[in-house]
Amino acid sequence: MRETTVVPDTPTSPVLSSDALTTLAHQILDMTTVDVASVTVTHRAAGITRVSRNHVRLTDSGDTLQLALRLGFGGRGQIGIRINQIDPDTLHRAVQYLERIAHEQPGDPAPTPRSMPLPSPPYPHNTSWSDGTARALSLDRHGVAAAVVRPVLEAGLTGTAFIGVAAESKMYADKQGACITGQSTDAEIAVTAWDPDSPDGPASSGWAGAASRSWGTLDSHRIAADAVHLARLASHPIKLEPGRRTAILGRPAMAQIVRAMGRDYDAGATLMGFTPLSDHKLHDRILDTRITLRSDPNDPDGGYLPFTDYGDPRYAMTWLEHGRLTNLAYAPRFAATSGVAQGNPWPESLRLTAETGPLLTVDEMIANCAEGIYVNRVADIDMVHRKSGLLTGVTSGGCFLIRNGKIEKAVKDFRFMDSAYFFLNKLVAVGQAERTAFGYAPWHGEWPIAPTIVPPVMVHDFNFSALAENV
Amino acid sequence: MSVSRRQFLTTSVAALTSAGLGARSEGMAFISRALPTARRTSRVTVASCLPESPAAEQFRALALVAVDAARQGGADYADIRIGVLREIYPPSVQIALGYGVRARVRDAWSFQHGTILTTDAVAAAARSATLGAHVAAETNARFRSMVAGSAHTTAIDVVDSISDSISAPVVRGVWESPVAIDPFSVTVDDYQRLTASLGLMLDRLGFVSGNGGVYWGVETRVFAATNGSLVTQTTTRGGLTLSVSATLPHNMLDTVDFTVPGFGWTSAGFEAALRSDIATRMAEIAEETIRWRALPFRRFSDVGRYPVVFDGNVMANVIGHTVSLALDSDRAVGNEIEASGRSFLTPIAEVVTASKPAFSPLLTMTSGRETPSATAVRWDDEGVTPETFSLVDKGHVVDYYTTRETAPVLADWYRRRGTPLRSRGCLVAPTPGSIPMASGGDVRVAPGEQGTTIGALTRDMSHGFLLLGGAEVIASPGLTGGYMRPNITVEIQRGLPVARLSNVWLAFSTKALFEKGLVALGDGSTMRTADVDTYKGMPWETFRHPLTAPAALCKEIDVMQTDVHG
Repeated sequence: MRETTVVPDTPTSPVLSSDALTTLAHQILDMTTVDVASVTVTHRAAGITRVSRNHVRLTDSGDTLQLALRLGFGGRGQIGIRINQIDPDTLHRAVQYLERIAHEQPGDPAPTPRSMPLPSPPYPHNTSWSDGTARALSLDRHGVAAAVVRPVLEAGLTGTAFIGVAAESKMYADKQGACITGQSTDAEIAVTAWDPDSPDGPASSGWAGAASRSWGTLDSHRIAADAVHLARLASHPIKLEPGRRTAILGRPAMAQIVRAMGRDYDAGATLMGFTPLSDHKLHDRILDTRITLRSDPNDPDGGYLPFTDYGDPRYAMTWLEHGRLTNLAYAPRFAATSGVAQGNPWPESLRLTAETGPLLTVDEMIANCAEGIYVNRVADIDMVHRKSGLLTGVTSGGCFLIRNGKIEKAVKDFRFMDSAYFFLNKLVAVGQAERTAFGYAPWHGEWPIAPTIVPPVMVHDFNFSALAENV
Repeated sequence: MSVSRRQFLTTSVAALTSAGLGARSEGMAFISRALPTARRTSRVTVASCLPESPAAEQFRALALVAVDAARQGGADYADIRIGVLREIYPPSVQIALGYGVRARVRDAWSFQHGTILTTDAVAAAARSATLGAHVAAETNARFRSMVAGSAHTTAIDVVDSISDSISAPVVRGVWESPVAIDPFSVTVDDYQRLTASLGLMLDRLGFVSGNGGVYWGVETRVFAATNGSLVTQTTTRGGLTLSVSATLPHNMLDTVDFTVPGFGWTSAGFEAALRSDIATRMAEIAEETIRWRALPFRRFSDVGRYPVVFDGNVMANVIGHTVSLALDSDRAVGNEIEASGRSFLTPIAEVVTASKPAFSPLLTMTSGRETPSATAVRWDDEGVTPETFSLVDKGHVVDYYTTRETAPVLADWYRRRGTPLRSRGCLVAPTPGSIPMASGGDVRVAPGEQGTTIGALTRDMSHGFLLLGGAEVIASPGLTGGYMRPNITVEIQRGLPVARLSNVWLAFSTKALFEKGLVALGDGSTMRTADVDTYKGMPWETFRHPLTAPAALCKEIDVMQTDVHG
């Protein structure tokens, strides 16, 4: 008897329904008598509008489908085929190919514990679907483009914008009876604006953005207004010597940095000595005691599908609580062999919050800063030294000198080199956590990037290592 | 238990000898026995087991449906890429069918992609793309009226001037990249023996381990446009990628690894695996790997400015992520401002006409898409025949990776040189369903004088560094500079290698490095090829092209530590 977990369908879905995926899974798995067989189907639809220099550069829409079928005999190596057509003949031939090849793989034909999928686990609920976002795929995004560009033009600025809406339907099923389906949606709006008369042009810009599972929560007018406000401040930046300074990191800056921390919680890498957590034990204090780091597929500000492409469940986890290490992410099979009760993949989606002390807004942080740098966003993130979590990147979309509690001047962009494991131990103030957009960020994987919910922070001695234009 | 360097060398060399990978070439015989010359013909071919793909004629018919629908919808121009890519990573395979329709109305583009290959679906996609372009053009008209007479007119005019795409001749035809053995006509059994024999050979190297990748992709892609173009190309790319690693049992984290030069993806079929020099080349690189691995290993701490020699692989990575990217016309005209970024080689008209060269006279770069390059095509993704052309000539920037949309920005320059205005054929769609953008082809940096080996480049170095085996390069948003993290850093004192160093990375300014910093280039024997992967677009997509470069001696480079935090 096959157990099926189905997320309720919606009439507006631009992607294959859970019922359709479940039927497809049964159809494929019934074609083979092989014991070890699993299938993952992913159907994605997206609609994009790009505005470049006050001009709709491109609109892009469409869908992609991928079906990954894996098959193996006993302890013999599993093999796979990926196709993007689901007509019966194609499916039948794909199964035939795998059956023929799988027989000839080296290894023991008898099943081994390692070759068999783990028992079907209970899955958390899925809350990452929004009807409104699904409907927005067929809306006129040009109207939104006009709404975000008009304030930029009216302010005498030049601007670019990105408006993206996506929906995904995913299913995993195997011969052992697991069958899980889920659907998610996501949306992002990002605007960059700059003063065309500024000598640095787009290099002295203001960036603002928002991302949400729910299109209706995105406020395009506010995003445009924020970009315009920052762009006006960012015009005619001065050069400032790099060095260690007090920094106020806005949410868009923190999201880029925190997103890079997820892999650090991988138990395998940590136990092998590769991550900043490798020299610590559970319950050691890692960060400032105000900091808590969690992942939750049902996070109200940005959940995610509660299973991986291989059917592994994603549970709500607390990684750091009041600055102390509380959990590592054990892949399910590693968990089973390590005596860890509940496996979980390393987190792609994170919520970093302060659960004690006052929460300050960015304006309040600026008002409390005698001298420092306000960084709205950072970009071009890269890992320099994994063991210490040392990252590099450049400030982008607004970087300002603060003196005596006020923004005094825009400054030219810096390259920074620092680790969240250092600067989050030099915490001065922290704000309310919210989800933010990433904008262009291929260093973090495919768009849309998993929700990252972070606060703005104020820290001492942040390392601005060079002027960005120099390196 | 620790293993001394002497033990390491002795054991590894013994392992090489016992594996027969030295001059006696027993390993070659081992490989030969596993290759298709001896294949068992009773086994089935990969193709015979797989789902059948539509014939090229079906793609052509669908392509014509799409351009008709776009034309009827009022597109000023529209084109479609449609086809199937079959890939084998033995024994696993991937088959992807798809299409992407691009339509232009006045100054606005719209794109629609899909995977359902029916007449109705493809026609609907074309109509949708055309409608999207109409709406975008109307939106742009509203924007234009809002900024009429203001400072913004300048910015929009730039966009308008480049949206007047130059016309391209109508092209029709069929082209197939030359292939001796279709990789899908090979039996499953032969693939198994190939991968097994590579695995066995690589496992028998003692402390030296090897990695072997086997891949082929065969793609049939049809391009059609409203100007009447209709071409069909079948390209076959792939081959073996081999690398060798040397490590010690007591320190598994300290590994020296090299890719084996001369292998990698080319425009070739299964015949690329039938080389008689696989074992010999593996053995050569294994010996080189052991030699470098045997150097004393220490943590770097002498931060400062030093002369540095890049091997060909490092040079290819640095050029590929700086100068080459700066020559991307999409970046240079500002199409990528909110995405992959800008280029310091702007304004284009000033850069190409500058009397002072942008770079050292030693630097000459070309790009082309001819066989046997993995980038080889007869037509690019908008029907332009690519040509091999000069990008940088003795330090002067003379051209960019251009497309029909961006080539007009070079119109005056071409006129001054008496060159007809045309795209260089650099439009690339990574898949038929991808938005096509400008990209480099098979890019080559010309070598220096003969006899300039890596040894010759390091000979006069009193204290400096030799970077080997490639590097990760992190460039700044405008490509004005960046950092590099070399795979292997060797300290050179009085012309001799004395140690391998950990935790090294280097900072550079692109102009300073390749203008006054470049002292000498290695000869042809130092040329190495690296695949340059870059991201473009929003959402981003990976664009890959090979870049071949010689070794280089550069002066005054900032050498720093990765694990010291300022």
